[in-house]
Amino acid sequence: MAEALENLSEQLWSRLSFLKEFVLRLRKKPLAFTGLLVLIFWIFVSILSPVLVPYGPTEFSTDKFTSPGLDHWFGTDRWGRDIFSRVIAGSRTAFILALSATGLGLFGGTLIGLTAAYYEGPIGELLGRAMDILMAFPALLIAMFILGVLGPGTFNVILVIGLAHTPRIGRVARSAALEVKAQEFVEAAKVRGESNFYIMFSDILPNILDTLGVEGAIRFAYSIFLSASLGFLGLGVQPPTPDWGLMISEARNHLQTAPWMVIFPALAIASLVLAANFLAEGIEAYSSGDI
Amino acid sequence: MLIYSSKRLLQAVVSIFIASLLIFLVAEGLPGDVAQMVLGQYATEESLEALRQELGLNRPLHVRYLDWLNGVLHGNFGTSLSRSGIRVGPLLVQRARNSLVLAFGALLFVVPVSLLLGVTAGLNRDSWLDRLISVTTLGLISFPSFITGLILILIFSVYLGWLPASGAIDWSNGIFSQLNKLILPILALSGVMTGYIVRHTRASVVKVMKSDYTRSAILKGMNSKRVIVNHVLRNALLPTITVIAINLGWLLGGAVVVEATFSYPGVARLILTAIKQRDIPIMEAGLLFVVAAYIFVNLFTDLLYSFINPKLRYGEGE
Repeated sequence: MAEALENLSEQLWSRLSFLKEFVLRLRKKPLAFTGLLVLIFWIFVSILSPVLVPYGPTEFSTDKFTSPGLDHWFGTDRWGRDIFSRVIAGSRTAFILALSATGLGLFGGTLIGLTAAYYEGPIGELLGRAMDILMAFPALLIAMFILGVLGPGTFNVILVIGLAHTPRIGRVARSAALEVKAQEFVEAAKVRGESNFYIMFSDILPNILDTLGVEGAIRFAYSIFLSASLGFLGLGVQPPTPDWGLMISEARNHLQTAPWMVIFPALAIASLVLAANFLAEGIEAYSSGDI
Repeated sequence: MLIYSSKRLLQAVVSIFIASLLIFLVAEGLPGDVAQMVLGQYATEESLEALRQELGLNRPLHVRYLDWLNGVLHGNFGTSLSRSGIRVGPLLVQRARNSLVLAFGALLFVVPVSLLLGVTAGLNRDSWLDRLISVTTLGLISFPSFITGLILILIFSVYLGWLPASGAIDWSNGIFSQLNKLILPILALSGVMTGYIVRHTRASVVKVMKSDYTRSAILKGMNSKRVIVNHVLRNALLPTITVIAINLGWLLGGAVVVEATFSYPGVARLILTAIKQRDIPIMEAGLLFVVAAYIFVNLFTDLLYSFINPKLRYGEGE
C-alpha cells in the first residue's frame, strides 16, 4: 500500500512538470488561455480579498442604493453595503464552495468508478446501476431536496453539491478505468501478483488523471453554477455572507431602481464559469493531442 | 424489439420504485425528528406529540413507507401540511400542467434553433461562423438561467416595457391572452439547453463528415446536397435524440430557477416552496413526479432511438 501511494505521488509530481508544457501549448488556444488567465485572476482576488475590499463586505451604511461612482465603484445595495467589496469577498465564498465540492465529488466518484470498473461482475454492475439511478435525479433538485432536510449552511452546501457530482464523476471514471484495465500492463501486474489496491491506484488511476482533470474543471464550473443557483433560491449560504447568488436574489426586487445590484455579481459568476468551461475545453484538446 | 421494450419498461418501473424509496428515506428516514422539522425548534413537547399522532410518525419507518407507497399507487398523495386541507394530488396535477406548457414551449423553440445552429457549425467547421456559434453556445451554458432571466427582464420589461416580468399565468382567463407571459420564461429556460444541444449536434456532424462513408460518397461524385441529407444528417441527428432527452431532464430540474425568477406556478417552484415550508407530502410527491417524468422521457427516447436505428431494431445492438 505504501508502495502504491509512493508510485502515485511520483506520477503526480511528473504531471506537475507537464503543467509548464501544458500552459505553453495552451497559448495556441486563445480562448482556453484567456480562461486560464481569468481563473488565475479570480484565484488571486479570492486569496487577497481581505486586503482588496475598500469597505467591510457586511458593513451597513446610510448610502443606500447609490449608483456606481467614484466612492462605490459598483454602487451599494439596500442596506448601504458596498457591492464592489461584496463581489470581491464573494469570490472567496465561491471558491471555497466550488473547490471543496469538486474535491469531494472527485474523491467519491473516482473511488466508486475505479471499484466499479475493477470489480466487473456483480459489484461493478450494482455500482453502475446505482449511479444510473442517482443520475436520474436532476442535480439541482437533489441538492435542493437534501438541503431542505439538512438545513442550509456552507458545510451542507458543499456536501450536497459534492454528492450531486459523485455519480457523474463515477460514471466518467468508470468508463475511463475500463479502457485502461483492458490494456496489457494491467494484466501483467495481475500476473506479477500485485495487490488489487496497487493495481487500482498505481496502475489505473494515473492513467485516467487526464480524464479526471477535464471532468474536474467541468464540475468546478458546474459547482459555481449550482452554488449560485442555490444561493439565488435562498437554500445556499445564508445572509449576510457575501455570496454572488444570494446577492442576485436580494437584487431581484430592485431591478427597476438599482440594476447594478444584479449586473456586477452576474458578471462575476458568468466570467468565472465561462473561464472554467473554456479551460476545460483546453485541457480536453491537450489530452486528446489536438494542441 | 418487443423483448427489448419490455425489458426497458421493467427497468424504468424498478428505477422509479428505488427512487421512491430514496426520496422517502431522505425526507423521513434521516436522523432528526420530522415533527420538529415541521414545527421548528421552539415547538412544545405536546404539540410535537400531537403532530406525530396526526401524521402517524410513531409507526416504524417501513410501515410508513408502504403506507405512503400504497397511497401513491392509488393516486392518493396525502394532504398538504402548510396549506391546510389541500390535497396534494390535484395541486400537483395543476402545477404539472403549467410546467409542461413551459417545457413544451422551450422544446418547440430549442430543438429547431439548436439543430440548425449545430448543423451549420458542423458543416462549416473552423470557419468564423463555427467559431462564433461555439463561443456563443459556451457562453449560454455558462450563464445560470436566473441570470439570463433577470437580464431578459431588465431589457424587455424594465427598459423596453414590451413583455411582463411575471410569468404568473392563470388558466381561468384563457391561455391565449397570456402567451406573452410565457415568452421570457421560455427564452430563459432555453439558454443552457440550446448551448448543450448545439455543441453535441456540431460534434456529431463533424464526426460523420470525417467518416469513410461520407468521404467515399463525396469521392464517387455524389452531389453535396445529397451527401449532406442522405449521409450526414441521417447519421448525425440520431445520437442527438439522446442528447435532447438528457436535456429534457435538465428542463425539469433547471425549471426551478426559471420558475422562481418569473414567479411561474410550476412543479419545481411548488417543490421549492414545500422545501422552505417543510411541507413533506408535497416535497415527496413533487420529487417523485419529476423523477418519474424524467425516467419515462428517457424510456420513450430509448425506444424511439431503437426504432429509428436499424442496428438496434434487428437486435444486433444492445
